[in-house]
Amino acid sequence: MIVEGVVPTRGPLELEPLLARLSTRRFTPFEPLLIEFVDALSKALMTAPREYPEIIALGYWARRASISAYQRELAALGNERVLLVPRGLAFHVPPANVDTIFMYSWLLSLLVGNANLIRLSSRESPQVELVCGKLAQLLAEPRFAAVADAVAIVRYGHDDSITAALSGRCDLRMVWGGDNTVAALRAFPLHPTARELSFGDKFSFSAIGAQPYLEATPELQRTLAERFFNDAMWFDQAGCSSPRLVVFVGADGPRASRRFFEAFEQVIEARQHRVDDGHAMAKLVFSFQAALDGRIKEQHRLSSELSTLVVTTLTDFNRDHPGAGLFFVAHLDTLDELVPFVTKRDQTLGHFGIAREELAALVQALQGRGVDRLVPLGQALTFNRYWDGYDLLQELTRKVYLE
Amino acid sequence: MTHSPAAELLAAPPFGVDRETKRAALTTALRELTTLHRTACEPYARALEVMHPRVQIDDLADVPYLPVSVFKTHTLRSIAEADVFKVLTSSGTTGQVPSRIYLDRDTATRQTKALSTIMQAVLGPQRLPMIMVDTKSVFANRQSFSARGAGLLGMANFGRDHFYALDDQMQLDEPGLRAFLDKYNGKPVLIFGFTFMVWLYFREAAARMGADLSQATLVHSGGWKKLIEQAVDNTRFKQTLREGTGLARVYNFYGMVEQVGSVFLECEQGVLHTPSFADVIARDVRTLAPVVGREGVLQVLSALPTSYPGHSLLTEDLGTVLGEDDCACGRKGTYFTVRGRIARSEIRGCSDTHAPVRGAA
Repeated sequence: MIVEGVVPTRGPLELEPLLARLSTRRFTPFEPLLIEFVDALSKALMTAPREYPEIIALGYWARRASISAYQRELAALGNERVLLVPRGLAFHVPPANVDTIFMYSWLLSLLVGNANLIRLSSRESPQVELVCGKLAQLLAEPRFAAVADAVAIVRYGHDDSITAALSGRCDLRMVWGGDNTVAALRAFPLHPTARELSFGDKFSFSAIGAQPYLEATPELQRTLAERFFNDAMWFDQAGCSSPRLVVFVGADGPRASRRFFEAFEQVIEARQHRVDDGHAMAKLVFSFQAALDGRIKEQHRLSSELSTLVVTTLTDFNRDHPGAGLFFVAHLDTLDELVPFVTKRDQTLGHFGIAREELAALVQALQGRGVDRLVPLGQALTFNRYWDGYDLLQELTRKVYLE
Repeated sequence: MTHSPAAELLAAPPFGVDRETKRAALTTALRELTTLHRTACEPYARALEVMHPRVQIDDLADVPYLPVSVFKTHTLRSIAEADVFKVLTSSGTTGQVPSRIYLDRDTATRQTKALSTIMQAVLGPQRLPMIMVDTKSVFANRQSFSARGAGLLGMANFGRDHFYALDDQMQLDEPGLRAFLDKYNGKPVLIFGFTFMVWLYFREAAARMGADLSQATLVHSGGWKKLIEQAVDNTRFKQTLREGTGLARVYNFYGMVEQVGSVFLECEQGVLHTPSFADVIARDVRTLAPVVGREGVLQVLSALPTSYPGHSLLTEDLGTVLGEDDCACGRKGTYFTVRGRIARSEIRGCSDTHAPVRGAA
């Protein structure tokens, strides 16, 4: 069985020797070599061209200060009787189209000491090429030889025997990429001691307090629009955390909504964000379909880039969405009206102008039926250890009890 | 027969009505049709309420449109189920959901009459011996019958003594074609076929066997998608046929199952013409405002359909409106060109690591 190596070296690789190599390499969590490597990588990524803000964001996430914070947080998971050790070999199946997610899951897994094999999709993108290029360059340095030994980023075609071998030999399988991918991978058994973290299809939305928003200064309203731009547009609304619905809570919702999307449209223009013609047309068709269904009561096409569809009710809300700058809008009197709406698919709630107690009350009222993260507007895509209901620091390590 | 807002326009010569007269009559007809469908088709009324609120129709460009692809996802008819006479379905690519167009007898009759008015303007009143660039077995296969077969049957009305030139393997029946041409030696004949079939299965084989088609008229339709992949445009298409077989009179037409009868026929100048009962507007892809002289997405207007709300449709085809009434061929009406579909790139997203690349719909 042969796979196509991408990092640390390019070219065909025999699977068996590769697995043999990866199975023996481990680190102590957050050992100095790992911190030094991630720090060097962070610096390299921060120099990426401005047109790839998601790569710069990745570099920023991996900066020394945040790595040190993770180190302290991991330490806090253990105590004198509970020692934290790596799980072993992690097999990552990242999504095809969010080009940087595999780096987050890999870096966190590396920092806690695991060896890692990442299967990239066959789809190439400038973002992936750029990141892999920088990685390969660093890993070629002699000081990082041990790190290079503990990672393989590979591609391979539809070959079940390879997926089966990797699944049978890894200690942890991390499957991103939605329901279909998760279902496809479930067909391949893991070793009895191994476990899987799976990330299915998700839907995300934002909640904005109408009064606090209307009372905000024009500067703050502009800042909020910029933050929302990052949440929604970096991945053309197709990331699992990208908001596709905005609910305005409290009196004067329609006025708040109007001002919010006007400010947002200005940011879209200022940043010269462009949706290609095909997607603009697909959004228009989608809007007509929703109107024919009687699901929406108003449509506002602010530009080719931005349309809003005001729904009559969140009851039986259909989460299908075309991406690329289309937002459902709903008006609620109180936040707890979301309780019957939320499902298991709902991941991130970006918020502004809603009291912490109200958000906490919503989480309690939901009793785990949905919503994995509630974060301030602008942080929908900010990766951290808590994702899809998992604590990744905990999931990526094993706890050894010593008395 | 129900009152048709198109009656007056249908009675006029298809390419003989001047701009002012046509615009006034067609605007009135389309305004009446909008009201008719709004009253008779509830989802259409709902969509208009949301997507074209407070619409006032003073001009053709004011007539609210539906995207043509909603006929794939929604059942849209303005007649009772009992009055459905025929349901047309589009071919589309394998795996795609077809459009479903509901016709009553009146609309179907009107479509047939409209098509024949247009064809006679090109072919004259007599029915010529006719070569069909297709296989007879298209009628045996019920699945493909819906689209290709219906098109062939519709066109067959304009000729006689039909000869199906291809066998089941899409090979040219050379002896059959030779016999047909010998029989009508030197006399005018009509050829009909879908554009890609003519190019892929007929052009080369006919040239190789030395067929003389200098007395023939070719009418073809179906779109250029497959030929654009091979870098074949209308000019090359016509040039190759002329050089290979002497075939000089070639008429492309642009039409769709969602507006049958309302076809736009290519003239000797190589541009498409709207008949009196139909029109075309190109809209800027970004602003959706009407544009002339530069490329836009095409909206097609037709006074024919009373049984379904298809009188004003926004296609996903790109084209350019070049002018009105002043084409060098002498025909009246808006004239325009079609280039192809709006391209749709892949969108990035978290889902479906292994999903195939999504193509243009």
